[in-house]
Amino acid sequence: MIKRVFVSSIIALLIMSTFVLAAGSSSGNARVSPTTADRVAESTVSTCEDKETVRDRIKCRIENPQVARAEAYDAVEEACRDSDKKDACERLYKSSAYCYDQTDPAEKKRCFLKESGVNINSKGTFRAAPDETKRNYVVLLFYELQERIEKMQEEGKITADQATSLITKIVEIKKMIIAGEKREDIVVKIIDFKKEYRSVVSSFIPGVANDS
Amino acid sequence: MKILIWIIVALVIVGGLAWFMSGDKETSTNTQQNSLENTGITESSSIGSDDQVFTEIDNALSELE
Repeated sequence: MIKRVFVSSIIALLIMSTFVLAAGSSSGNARVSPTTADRVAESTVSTCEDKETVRDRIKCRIENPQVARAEAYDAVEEACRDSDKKDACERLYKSSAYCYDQTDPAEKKRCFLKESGVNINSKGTFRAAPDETKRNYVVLLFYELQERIEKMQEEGKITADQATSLITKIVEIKKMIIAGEKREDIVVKIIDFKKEYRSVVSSFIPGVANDS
Repeated sequence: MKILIWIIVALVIVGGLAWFMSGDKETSTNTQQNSLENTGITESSSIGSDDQVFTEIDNALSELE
């Protein structure tokens, strides 16, 4: 009799364990190991500024992180180049740099809002904020996505080409936002970017990627 | 006796299911709360996931004049 109860309990425990497994994988970051790690050849590249196009410069920096780090302080942020708001754009990047060190997403967001100039209270007065500050905020959010893409590339989850393509699109979008282009035109670019982003990210995360 | 064993097994399964479903309900409530917060830009909504960042971007863009 005891034997039968014991066997039944084991069966019940086995059935229960399937639920536990199901719950774990549905909410977790079920990331698989990278299938293609980027092979960064030992390079003799000393600068990426000599490349003509934005895409080439971005790819160069991705493939030569030591050059990217060295040039980070001197080079003008890609999105701010050729802009009549270059100084304000540079200021925004510099003043918000510390926000990206925040690990808590809520704190990071508060930091973005503060540095973009949006004065927001707990009830949410975003609508009343000046247009330029809203644009700043969107630029900082795109920079956040850019950081995530760079991280994924460094971890070998996406290729250098995939990262280059996505970051180039981000830079184009940021340029449009900074230039004050129409929302309708920006949205078209964003839709295209989102599609590519989801496609790239879902190639290493089963299902739709949700986490950073 | 056999019936008793099956009752115990059934109770364990039903209990497990109830626990599992309560977890889903909690997640669903949190999602609902986030979605309410995301109807506008507020300090409390998060940008932890890529989807939340995209939502935040969409919300902010929709407020542009």
